[in-house]
Amino acid sequence: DDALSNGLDVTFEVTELRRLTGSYNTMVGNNEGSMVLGLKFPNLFGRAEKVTFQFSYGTKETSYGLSFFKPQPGKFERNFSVNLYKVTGQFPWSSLRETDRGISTEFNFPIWKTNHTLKWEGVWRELGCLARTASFSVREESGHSLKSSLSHAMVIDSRNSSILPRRGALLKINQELAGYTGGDVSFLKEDFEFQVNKQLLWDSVFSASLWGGILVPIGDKPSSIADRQRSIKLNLTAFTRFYLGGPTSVRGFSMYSIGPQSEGDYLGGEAYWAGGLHLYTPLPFRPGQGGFGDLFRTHFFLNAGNLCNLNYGDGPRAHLQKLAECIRWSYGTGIVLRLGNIARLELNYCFPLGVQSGDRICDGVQFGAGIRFL
Amino acid sequence: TLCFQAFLQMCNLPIRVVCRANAEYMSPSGKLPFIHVGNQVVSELGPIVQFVKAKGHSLSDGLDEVQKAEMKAYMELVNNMLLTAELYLQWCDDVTVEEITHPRYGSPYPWPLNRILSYQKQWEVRRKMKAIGWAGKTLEQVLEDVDQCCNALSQRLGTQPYFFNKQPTELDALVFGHLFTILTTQLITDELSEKVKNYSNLTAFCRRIEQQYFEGHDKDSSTTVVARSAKRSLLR
Repeated sequence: DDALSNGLDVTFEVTELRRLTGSYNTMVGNNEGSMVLGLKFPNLFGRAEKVTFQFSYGTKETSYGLSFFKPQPGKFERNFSVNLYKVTGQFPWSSLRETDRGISTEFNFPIWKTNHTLKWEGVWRELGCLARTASFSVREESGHSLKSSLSHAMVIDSRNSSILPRRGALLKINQELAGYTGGDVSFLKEDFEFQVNKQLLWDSVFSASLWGGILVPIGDKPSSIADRQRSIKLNLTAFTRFYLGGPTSVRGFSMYSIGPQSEGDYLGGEAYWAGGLHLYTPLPFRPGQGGFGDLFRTHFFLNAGNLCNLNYGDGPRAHLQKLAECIRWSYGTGIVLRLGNIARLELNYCFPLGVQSGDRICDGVQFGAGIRFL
Repeated sequence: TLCFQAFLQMCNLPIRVVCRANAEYMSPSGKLPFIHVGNQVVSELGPIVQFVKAKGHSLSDGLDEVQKAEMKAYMELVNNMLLTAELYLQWCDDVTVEEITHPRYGSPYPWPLNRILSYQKQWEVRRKMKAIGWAGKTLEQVLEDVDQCCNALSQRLGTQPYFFNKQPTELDALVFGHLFTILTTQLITDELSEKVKNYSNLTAFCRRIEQQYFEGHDKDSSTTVVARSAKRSLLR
């Protein structure tokens, strides 16, 4: 009737998703693998609400989770989800074992070119020692605590791919405030991640990245925690602090083995920064070009970073000074393999330098697998 | 906890008591108390006694084999009877549980963690009671058992200052710890402490040890005893 004379009628033929699907996957995270069983209702009430149940059994952790996801009709990027979960993890570099049971709700919405996430999370956290030989500083942190926090994250991503991008930049800024909505852990945590990539001659890519973060404890509030004997430091349990080192951050050092430690257990730190410069080139002589060979790249890297605890009484100048002294750095070369658009494997030969007493290094050949690399 | 403090005081070892809410979880065996010396951590009375003996201090060196066996037997009696009775009263008697134990156990934690942890602990203790056959006992039966135990201890003590002649041993420390706790902890009813008070030589024994080892003492620190409750005095 009101069709144009030279218009086209377009008909989409679609097949609806099944009401309930099950899945069985294997997952590779930062240096660990796991088996995941899942159940999914992709469209529960007819408006793309999704309910997922997942059970994951891995080399280091076991977890299960239930989540409900609802996008705004018509605007998929604006969505809301509620998650219920239990996660167990083991951290041999700190001789620590942690079990978290929690609930979280989050809102995602885009503003212009940025993506924002607002989240509230309540977690019952239980820490334990992994071995009888754990140091006393780690032993002191065993027990239960409750964290209730609000966080906000902003992401701007203009890269063409998240694994081995050729151009574009990424900026992620995240802040978390814990303690004002209940629980017994109070802190303010800020961290950021920045990466920029540029393509150079002959199919090579130059990439620079910078990470940093700071964790500020907030003094004891009145009420139930006022009469506890724990010091403020203990409110920042091992898992809240930052860790540095390993094949996915400052290469040439063992996993999370930089910074404050006690009898061989790494305690993490309250402030850190890490930077990397990379040059990616195709494999020499380009074997398997156009096919399998394109998944591999050689890379030359220079990494540096520092992790420490700050004295909050001093001013910002003293903080910057503390972060600038005792810098650990390393350089080397290696081969990178890209796994789909999700993960990356690296085999590097590293020369770690600036090693401080207490750090554990992994000089020579180091293997790494993960999704987020410095 | 007082058993350990008493024991270490009797050995003339300087100690410092630290109270932490998460002490139970810090202990390598999950049981309280434990001591932290240098960079070693030892928990529970048996291992602590061994540890202290290995360092050269022992209270039972003067005893012969028969007496040592007797001492062990009495220590087992106290552990089985008094300790279990205390646990029963704290966790299986509904009135006490509701009014005293739950608030006290959950006090270091925020809501809802305080309720969750209290119930978890209660379930654990009740399960243990079932396993040793105490779940079916009523409060009266438990108090009867405590009475019998105190009777046995009172008879063994007689008119002596300590259980084995003039020197205190681990048994004295253990008995003191339990009896003192029973006499000074405030519960809903005073029945338990009344049972102990019936035996005047036991109360005199407690008072004597308290006066000798717990008053006017300087607390230096080379050993730290970690406990979950605060210190109380017999003389109110």
